[in-house]
Amino acid sequence: MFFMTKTVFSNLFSRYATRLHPFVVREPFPDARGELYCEIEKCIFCMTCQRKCPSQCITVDNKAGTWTCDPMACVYCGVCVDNCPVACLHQKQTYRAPTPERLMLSLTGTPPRAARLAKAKTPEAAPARAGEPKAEVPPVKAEEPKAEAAPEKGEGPNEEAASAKAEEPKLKAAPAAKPAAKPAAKAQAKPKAQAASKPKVKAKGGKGKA
Amino acid sequence: MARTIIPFGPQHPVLPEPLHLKLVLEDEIVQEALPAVGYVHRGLEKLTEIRDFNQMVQIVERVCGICSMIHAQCYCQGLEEMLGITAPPRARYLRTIWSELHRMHSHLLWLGLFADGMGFESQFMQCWKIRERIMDVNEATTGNRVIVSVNVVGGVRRDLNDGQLRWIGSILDQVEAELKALKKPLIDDYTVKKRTVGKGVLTAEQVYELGAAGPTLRASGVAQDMRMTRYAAFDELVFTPVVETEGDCHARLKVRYRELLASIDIVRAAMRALPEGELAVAVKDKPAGEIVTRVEQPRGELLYYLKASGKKNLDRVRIRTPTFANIPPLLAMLPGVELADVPVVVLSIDPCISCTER
Amino acid sequence: MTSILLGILALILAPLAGGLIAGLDRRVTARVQSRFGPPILQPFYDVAKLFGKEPRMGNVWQIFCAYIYLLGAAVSVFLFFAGADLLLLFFVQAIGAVFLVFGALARPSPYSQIGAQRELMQILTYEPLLILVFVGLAKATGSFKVAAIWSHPEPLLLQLPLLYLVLTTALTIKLRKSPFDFSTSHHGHQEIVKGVLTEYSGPYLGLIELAHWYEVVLVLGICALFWSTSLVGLLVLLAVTYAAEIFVDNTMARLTWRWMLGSALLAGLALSFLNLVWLYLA
Ligand code: SF4
Ligand code: SF4
Ligand code: SF4
Repeated sequence: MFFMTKTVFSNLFSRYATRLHPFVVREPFPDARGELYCEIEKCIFCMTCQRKCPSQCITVDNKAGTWTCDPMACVYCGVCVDNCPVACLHQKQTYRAPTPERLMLSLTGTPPRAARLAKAKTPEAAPARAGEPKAEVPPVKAEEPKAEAAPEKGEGPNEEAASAKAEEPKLKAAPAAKPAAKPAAKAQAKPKAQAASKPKVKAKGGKGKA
Repeated sequence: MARTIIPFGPQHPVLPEPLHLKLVLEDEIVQEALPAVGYVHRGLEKLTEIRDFNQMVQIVERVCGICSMIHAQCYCQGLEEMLGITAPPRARYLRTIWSELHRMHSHLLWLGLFADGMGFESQFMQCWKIRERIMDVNEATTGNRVIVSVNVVGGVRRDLNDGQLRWIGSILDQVEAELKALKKPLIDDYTVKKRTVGKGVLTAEQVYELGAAGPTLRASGVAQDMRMTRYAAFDELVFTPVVETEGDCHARLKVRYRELLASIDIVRAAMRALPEGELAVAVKDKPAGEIVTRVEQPRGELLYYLKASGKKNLDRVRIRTPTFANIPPLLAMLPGVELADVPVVVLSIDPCISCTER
Repeated sequence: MTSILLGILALILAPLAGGLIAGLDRRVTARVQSRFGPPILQPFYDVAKLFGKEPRMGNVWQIFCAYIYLLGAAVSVFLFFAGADLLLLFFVQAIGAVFLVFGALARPSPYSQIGAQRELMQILTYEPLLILVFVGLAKATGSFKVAAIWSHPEPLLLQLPLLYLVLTTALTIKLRKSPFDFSTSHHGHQEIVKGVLTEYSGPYLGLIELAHWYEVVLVLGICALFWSTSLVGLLVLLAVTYAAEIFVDNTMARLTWRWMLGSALLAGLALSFLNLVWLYLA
C-alpha cells in the first residue's frame, strides 16, 4: 500500500521541482521561438510576411511604410521569420511580458520606392527617416536577460540570412544554427535544479560560437 | 435516495477539458449518462475557406493542445499524398521522433490527471515532473513547448543535430528510469487498484462494436494501432501495439504506461536509424483531389479527410478525432458505476474535448 | 476558576494554532509532492480574504447552520480545555458536525446534497470510534473528566495503543485527508467539487474554516491526552501523528465511502474492542 514511501521521502529531502516563477526565470533555450521583432531598416515592404502569417496578425503598408504586428494575435509559429526574403524578422527567445492593455507593435520605415525618391532629391533625408522603432519595443527589451540582447542583434540576422528565400535554402539555415543549440541545451538538462545561473554561462558561450 | 441529475462539466474542476455529461444517479450509482458536445466549438475546419493550405498547417495544429504535432503531421501527410510528393526520409524520421515525444508528454499528462482524478495528488506532481523533461526537449528542439510548428507540407522545418540527438538520448534514459520507478506506486498501489480494477469494463466485442479507438480499444484486447499502417518512419521501424485484455480502467492505465516505455524505444530506434538528407521537398503545385489519412494520436486513431480542387484554399478539411470515437464506449461504461468512480472512468478514455469539438 | 480561564484562553488561541497547523501542513505537503508551497501564514490570508468578501448566501438557514457549526466546535474546544466531561464534549461536537450537514442540505444543489450525505456517512464512521476511544480513556483512568485524564500519572498510550490508532483514523476523517476526503476535499478536483462546502462562500465559508481549525485543535487535544505526562512526549506524539497524516494523505488515492463503511469502520471497531478487552483483562 505504501509504495509511494520512497518518493515521498526523497521529495521531502530534495529540492522542489517547481520554479518560483516571476523571481526565478529559466534561461531560454537558444532555439526557442519567442516574441517577434522586425529590423525595420532592412525591411523592403514586400508583404510576404503578411501573406504567409497563419493568424494574419501582420499588416504591411508599402505606401506609408508601416509594418504593424498585433503581438496578441501572434502564435509564435515563426512562419513569417522563415519566409522573409531579407531576413529582417526575428524571434527573441523570450515571450512578451504580459500587459494590461492591447499593444500594437507598429514600426515605420522607408519603403524602397520612397527611399529611392528621397535619395534622388535630398541625400540626407533618407537616413533621418529610416527606422524609428516606436512605443513598446524598449520597455519589453529591458526585462530580457542581457545575454542575448546584444549578440542577437548582431548575429541573429546572419544566421537567418542564409534562410532567405522560400523553402529550399531555409533548410540549410537550420543546421547552421545548430552548434549554438547543442551545448546550451545540454547544460540545461543535466543539473536537477534549473536555476538561472548555470545555463546562462553556456548560452553565452554557445552564442559566441554561432 | 431518489433520482438526481448531476451536471458533470463542462466546467468541472475534475475535468481537464470541457466535457459535458448529465449523470442520472440513483443512490450515487449512475443509471445513465447523457453527453452534450459542442461547448468549445471553434470552427477550425471552416477556416480553410480563408486560409491557404500552407497556413492550415498551423491551424490544424491548434485543434489539439496536447498532440498538436500529430495533427499537423497527419494533415501534411495527406496533402503530400494528394500532391504526389513524399517527404524526404529524414523528415519522416524526424516526424516520428517528435510525434512519439508528443505521445509521451500526452500520456504523462494523462497519468497525472488520472491520479488527480482519484484524489492522488502527490502522484500528479510526479508525473508532471517527468513530463517537464519532455517539454524541455520540445522547446529546445522545436522552439515551442506544446504547439511545436515543425511541419510544413513537404517535410519539416527544423532539424536535429548530433548534439541534440545525444542530449535527447540522455533525457530519455532519465525519463525511462523515472517511469520505471513510477510503476509500483502508480500501477501496483493498493488504493489505485481499488479505484480502477473492474471499473468501466468493456469486452473486446463491445469496444469493437462501439468503435473505440486507441488505448481504450487496446485495453480490451483488440490489437489495433494506426502505427501498424506503417506511416512516417514506421515502415522501417519495428512496431508492436501494446495490448491488455482486462478492459477496465486499470488496463487502460497499464496500456498507457507501457506505451510510454514503447515510445521511448521507438524514439531511440528512430534516432539511431535517422537517415541523412533533405528536410523538405518544395511544393510547386496546388493540391487537387480527395484523400483520407490516418495516424495514431495518443488517444487513438486520428482521421483527416481532405478535398481540394487546385485552388490555394482546400475545399474541405474534415477531422475525426479519437475522443469523438470514444464517447459511445464511455457512455456504455458509465451505467452502474458509482459517482465517486465517474472521474476515473471518464478520464480513462483520456477525453480531449477541444479536439473533438474543433 | 482557572479552568474557565484556561478554556477562554484556548478559545482565543485555538484558531491561531489551527491556522498555523494548516499552514505548516500545506507547506510540508507541498514539499512531499516536490512543490515549493504557499507561505505558512497562507490559511490566515485566505480566511481574512473570505471575511473581506460581500456576504451572499442562498438562504438564512444556511447562515444559521454555519454559526451553529462554529459554535459547536468552539464550545467543545472550550469544554476540553476547561477540563469538562468528555461525553458532554462529544455531544456538543456532534451537534456542530450535524449542523454542517444541515447547512449543506438546505440548498438544492446536487453537489451539496451528495456532499451532505457523504458527510453523514463520515460522521457515522468517526463518532462511534470516538466514543469507543472515550470509553477506553475512562476505563483506563476511571473518569470521563478531561482534567482527571490529563493528570493520569502515566502515558495512556502504553495502555491504549490500538485505541490511539483508532483515534488517528478519526483524525484523518476530520482533517479531510486521503483516503477519506470524499465529502469535501482540500482542493475541488473531485466529482462533487467541494461537496458540503460547495454552496458556502465569502464570510460564511470563513466561519466554517474557522470552525474546522477548532475541530482540528480539539482532535489533536484528545490525541494529546494519550501522553499528558511530559510536554516533550506530548509534542513528539502530536508531531509524529500529524506527519503520519500527511504521509498517508500523499501515499494514497481517495477511496469511497462504501470502502470506509466496509473496511475502515470495521477495522476501527475491531481494534477498539481488542484494546478494551485487553484493558478489562489486564
Ligand atoms: S495558470 Fe495562473 S494560477 Fe495557474 S499556474 Fe499558471 S500562473 Fe499560476
Ligand atoms: S517579409 Fe520581411 S521584408 Fe517583406 S514586408 Fe515582411 S518584414 Fe518586410
Ligand atoms: S510568428 Fe507566426 S503568427 Fe506570429 S507574426 Fe509570424 S507568422 Fe504570424
